[in-house]
Amino acid sequence: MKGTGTRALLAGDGEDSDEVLIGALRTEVRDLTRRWRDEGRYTPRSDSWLRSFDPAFSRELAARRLLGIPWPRRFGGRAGSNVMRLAVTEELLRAGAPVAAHWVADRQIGPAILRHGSDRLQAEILPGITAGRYLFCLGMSEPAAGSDLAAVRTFATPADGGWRVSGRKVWTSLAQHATHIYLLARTERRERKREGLTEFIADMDSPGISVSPIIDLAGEHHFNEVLLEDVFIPGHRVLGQPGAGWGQVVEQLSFERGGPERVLSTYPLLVSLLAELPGTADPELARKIGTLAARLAVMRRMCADVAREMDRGKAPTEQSATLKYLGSQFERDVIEVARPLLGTPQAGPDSAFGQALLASPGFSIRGGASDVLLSIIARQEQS
Amino acid sequence: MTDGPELASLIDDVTRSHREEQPAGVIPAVWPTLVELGLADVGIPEEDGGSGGTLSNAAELMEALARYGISTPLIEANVARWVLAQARAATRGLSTIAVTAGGIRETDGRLLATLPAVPWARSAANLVVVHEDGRGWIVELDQQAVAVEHHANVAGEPRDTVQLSGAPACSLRLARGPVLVRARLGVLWSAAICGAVSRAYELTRGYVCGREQFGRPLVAIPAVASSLATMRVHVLQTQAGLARAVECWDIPAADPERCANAAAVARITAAAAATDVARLAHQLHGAMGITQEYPLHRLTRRLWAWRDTETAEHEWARSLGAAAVAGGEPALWDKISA
Repeated sequence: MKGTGTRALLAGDGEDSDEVLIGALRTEVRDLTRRWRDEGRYTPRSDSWLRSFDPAFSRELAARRLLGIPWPRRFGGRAGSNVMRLAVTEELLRAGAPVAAHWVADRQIGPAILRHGSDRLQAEILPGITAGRYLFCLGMSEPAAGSDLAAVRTFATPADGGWRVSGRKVWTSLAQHATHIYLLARTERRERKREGLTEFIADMDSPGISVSPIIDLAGEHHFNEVLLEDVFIPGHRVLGQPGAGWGQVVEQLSFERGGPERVLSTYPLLVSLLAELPGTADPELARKIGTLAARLAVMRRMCADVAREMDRGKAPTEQSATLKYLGSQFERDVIEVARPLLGTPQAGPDSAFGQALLASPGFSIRGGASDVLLSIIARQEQS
Repeated sequence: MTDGPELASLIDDVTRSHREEQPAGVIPAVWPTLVELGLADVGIPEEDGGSGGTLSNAAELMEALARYGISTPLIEANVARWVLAQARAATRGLSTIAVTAGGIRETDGRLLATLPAVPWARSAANLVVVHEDGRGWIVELDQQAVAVEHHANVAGEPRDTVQLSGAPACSLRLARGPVLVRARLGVLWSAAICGAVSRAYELTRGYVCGREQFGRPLVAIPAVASSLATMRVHVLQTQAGLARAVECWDIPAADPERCANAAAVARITAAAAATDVARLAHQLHGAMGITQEYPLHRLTRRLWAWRDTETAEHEWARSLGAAAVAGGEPALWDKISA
């Protein structure tokens, strides 16, 4: 009858030590980010998990064993839980820390390899991620395959000892820095487009891969186009079963969508707003902040629920879609609440307000457009 | 105490013959049965004369009851009993409760006050008065110095004005303080809204999947499917807000600040859901939902009333926002949203 949190407090069993460990992890991240900030090594910003790239910070986290927390120890993980990882990711995003270098590898590539990768692939890739050396980008979207990911045309054909891949990926964030790319490619032409898809892991320095920048509306370079021209990928770099890519990538999307970065992209702006207020606010602003606070609290709870589902070995598709749908609305609404105070005529593109606003069109598009997420939720409801 | 699913099926049984709309403003016929079964005292320790169980049991009960669109004084009776049990005060008959920040004059054990919107005052034997400054009293309502003026909320539920003109009152020691009284009311009202939005959603889903227009079910229209999904998302949020609010109380020596913040979160979330779910449920039901015969209005009229009942949505939001502004970001992160 009692909630799990209560049981942990009452029982004093293993869960109790988890609570203590989680508290210690939060403190460690708070201390670390404060120190880096105080030393001027980074400035908090909105959307830091996509736009604030610093391999040195990622290696610092690696040295503290804060990457791959739920993964087995033999791969450099802590054999911890996704709930523990959530404590760390929440604190990093709260601090607007420069986490972009390792984000997608830690969030979804590692977990996908753990779920579906061969022993050899796991041994080859995972230690590089937990050491902060392997930086991943996601080769999913294509010019003709955005929300409709199953429409990918990048094609892989069997070759001696592996595969030859050709095609074009777009909106590939941080490909210019990546050491590895995850690729979703078609390996068979089938009547049903969800069949015949295969996932690969390729080295970015493979001959035939070229990266060209796509500059975003803020003038920033995180998007790229990645051209694949007859790129050789060794056979052992197939992730999971050839032809089973669709089922696997749908699972991966629940990792991609169900995390706190879908809620906290503009949290640093909320921090700035609260810092700006002298301990009081007029009733109307207080009401708006109160409403945001309530939404934040509920979404943090939903993030924890998703993490607990993952710890039970599930890939919670509907919950993750719901969270991402709600989170992107919250991220946008934070900007509107901050606007009367922080959106001054002198709030330029590099101001806290400008950074958040100029990043905002992407919130409800990346990782699944809101309209498509609603249709996923609606479909589950009709089945 | 029985556990969740059993409680829900008990409510299902008890309400089976009481699901027709009752005349507005009178205690529903199912109420004496609920009292007999001890359901009104769920969440109050047995040693205090209650039925045992926790606040989460009381919330489950309220959620189940609200699904049927039945108005009862369960929340007021339950929280009044909870306050009285802590004060070791014995009463007979139905007790209701009013939490107020308004002016109350007490001289020689007699009260002078005007209390607006007291739920079910016309049917109650006793009124528990809780002032935000920490004072509390119990007043017998059937006496000369008490006048009860009948009023109703938009759902037709009694929200009477109680005039105390020197009414004799017993002072109550509030063991848990007015903040927790209001929080407990807030959690139970969130549970009521949770039950009603869940049911309104289910009715709507059934309707748009079954009703055909243009040769196919309404849900085949993408805008209809999106609206249905939006309702579902509100239900999930309401459930999550309620779950975290209830859990705070399951911890021994619950932290009052945490309980109050979590109640505010649950209430704000539930109220926002009530607004959108009522709107979308009616939109998707078309003209059918506007009839007296179809059961939707029994849910939506209550949702409109309940989102601002006891403490209004905007008041909860202002006080939670004020707490965030006063405590700054650390308070928002660790005390309000954690």
